[in-house]
Amino acid sequence: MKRIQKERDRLLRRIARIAGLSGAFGALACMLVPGSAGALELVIVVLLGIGTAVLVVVHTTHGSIPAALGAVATALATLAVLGTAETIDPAALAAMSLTTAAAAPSVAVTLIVRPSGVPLVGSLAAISLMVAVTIVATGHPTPTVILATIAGWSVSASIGLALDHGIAGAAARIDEVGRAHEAERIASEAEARQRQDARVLHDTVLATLSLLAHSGVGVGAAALRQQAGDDARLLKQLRLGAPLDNASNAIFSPDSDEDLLSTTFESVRQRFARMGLDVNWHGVGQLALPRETLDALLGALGECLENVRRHSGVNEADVTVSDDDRTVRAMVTDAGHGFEPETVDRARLGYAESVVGRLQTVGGRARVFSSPGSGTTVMLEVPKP
Amino acid sequence: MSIKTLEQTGTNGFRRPARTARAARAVADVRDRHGGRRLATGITVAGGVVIVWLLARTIVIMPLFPPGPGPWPAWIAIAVIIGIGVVSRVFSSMQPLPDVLYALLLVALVVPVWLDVSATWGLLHLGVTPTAAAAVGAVLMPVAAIRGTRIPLAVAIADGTVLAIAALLQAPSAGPYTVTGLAVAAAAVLPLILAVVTIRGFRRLVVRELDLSLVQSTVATQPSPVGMRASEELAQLDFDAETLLDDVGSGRIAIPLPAEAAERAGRLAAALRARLIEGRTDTWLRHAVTESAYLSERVVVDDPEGAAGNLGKAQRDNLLLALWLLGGERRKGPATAISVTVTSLDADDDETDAAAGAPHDGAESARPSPVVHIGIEVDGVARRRLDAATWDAIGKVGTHDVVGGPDAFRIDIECRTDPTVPASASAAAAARPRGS
Repeated sequence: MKRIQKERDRLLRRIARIAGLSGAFGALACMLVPGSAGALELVIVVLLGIGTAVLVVVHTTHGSIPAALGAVATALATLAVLGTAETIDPAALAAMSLTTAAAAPSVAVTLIVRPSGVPLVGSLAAISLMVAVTIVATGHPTPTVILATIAGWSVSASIGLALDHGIAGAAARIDEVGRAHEAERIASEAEARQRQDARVLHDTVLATLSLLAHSGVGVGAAALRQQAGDDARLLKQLRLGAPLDNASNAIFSPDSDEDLLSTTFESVRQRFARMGLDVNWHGVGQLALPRETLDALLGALGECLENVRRHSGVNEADVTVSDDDRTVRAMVTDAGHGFEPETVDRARLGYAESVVGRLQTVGGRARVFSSPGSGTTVMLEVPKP
Repeated sequence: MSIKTLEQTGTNGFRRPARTARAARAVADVRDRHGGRRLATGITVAGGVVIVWLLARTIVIMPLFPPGPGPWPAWIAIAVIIGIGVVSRVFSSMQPLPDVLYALLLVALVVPVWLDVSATWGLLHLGVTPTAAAAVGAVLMPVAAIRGTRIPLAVAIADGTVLAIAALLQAPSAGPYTVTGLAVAAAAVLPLILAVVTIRGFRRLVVRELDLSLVQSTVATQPSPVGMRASEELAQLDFDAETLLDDVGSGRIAIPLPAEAAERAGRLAAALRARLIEGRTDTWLRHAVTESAYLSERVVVDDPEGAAGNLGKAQRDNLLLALWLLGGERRKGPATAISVTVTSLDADDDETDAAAGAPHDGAESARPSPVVHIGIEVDGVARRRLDAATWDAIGKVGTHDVVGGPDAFRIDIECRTDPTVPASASAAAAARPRGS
């Protein structure tokens, strides 16, 4: 059964319980008024009333149909016992009204939504009505009980039906909204993927932003301006989803990872060349690495080169890529100032986050070899699949 | 939106992604139109039945009234109020009634109550009770279904109290008929209480179901999805970066950059880098929890390896449902969030492989299935009283074990996952066919 229907039934049972218990306990309270009925009748009616309450609770806890039928039966028995008295006290009449208007029909709220619930509730209501009519026909003057019976069963049944129809309508609409939203999510996911896939673009954007964050010091104003303009144009293309020419297509989503590597390297080289650092590339040009790993390696590489550019004091760096069965190594070497690795706060270089952090997410690591005056070598390692 | 707002909204609790918020606005739509209108119709019918019943009762007790207008002025007042309400509702078509008119009509309900109580005053010993005054409760039933439930409920309780007091004040002369008067007072309140329980239950159900339905879409995402909110933030960051770079490129911002612009660039770079590097271990489960108004308050997910991404679609569905049901249980004592820990016992590179979108060929099935372990810590929920559906759902996630006491316990689930199912039903997977 669908969960929403379970929720519906739970709610219906709650309503039925409130109605049934108010009716049963209300009737019992009426019977406590002195003189409402003879002693024997009183005992029977109180027992029946308690029985009704218990059966209503049982029915509204587990939805048991026999309990529902029992609740109606005990309520009708109450009606019969009180209705056959010689004279009916007003308090007893009130008890009868509450029993027949609330206690007995309370089960209609839950029963009406069952399969074949309408005939079931209809026949229970008819039986109740017959009992009420009999009582009136056998001498009781006012038709109050008949009216209460009709009203109680109609109200209970219409509340049950209204809720059932309401929830069915809501469920259909919720399904619709859910499906539409799933489509939205898939679209959003694809869009985000596309953005994340534009890694090369983001690498250059990040590099440019870092330069700007340092107020563009150390780079020619014209070169920086052109770099920023290029990046802005590519970001705009990405945003508009415009058809891309071949050159920028490689920037967004290269066709294969071999292309990717050369494209990436070329773009990294150009980027740093524009900013005054010449990068020489040695070693394997093709790497069979999972995307995430390649991503991390190239990202870390870019960060290392940025550090060289900013801190080493030279305008040339070498990148050597080698691999064996298990590991791919990239070495970034410069002949610059160098530094004492122990004394430099690594966080200050953005090293911990952007280099070590990136590599660690793919199971790699980074080591720094440097001393003042003798240049710096950073060894980046990532595992092969 | 600037970076600043992005930074703020990133940390301060629950916020739906914009697309989800749009869909969630459908709550009102569902509540007031789809289903809600049918419910209101049914409630109105029930209210009408109660009114007709009380009218019939009026006719029955008519002979007991002394000569004079009897209870009819009160009934005419009720009819006028209902008439004005219905007519203005029809003329204001879809709009709710203006508040002023609504308040006026509610206040006007004093008139029939007053007329009826004074017409029946001192006659209770004959069995004459107010009827039109009791019908006020029924009149309020459709009002509660269309507008809020609180005010109608308060008005009805006030009405019932007046009727009860009137009956009790006449007790010395009325004797046993006092009970009849009290029963009529109950008849004024009980139908409305039932209607209010129905309406509130319905609204609560709609809100919860819709919320669940919205986050259920996370189930169908890839093992390591970006998430709608992150996706929107990334788009926004890209746009902010574009604006800044364009300003620099076109010379609107001078080089060297003014301090303010440089700082902006630094913040953007940091945020963008974080967005691109981090969140790789986010899974559908985390997105489901953070994007749900309901779950985000009740469930905390700890999934450092993104292992939940290895679960199949049916397992995800049931895990989400189980958390949903657990979150819905009534709590004892202070509410502690349910804590979910997901770990993978076989932490190889499934995630990256699956993320690369190449798992559909047969060779993949040779790989051992990763086993995902899920620990759910529940505090303050009676274990015995858990809904059977909860255990049912947990059972469909994997084999489970329960440790702990009756009120605080831990459910340990071992899930065998199907390595061939990365549950990437999305077009996104098809859009990126490149292998690793």
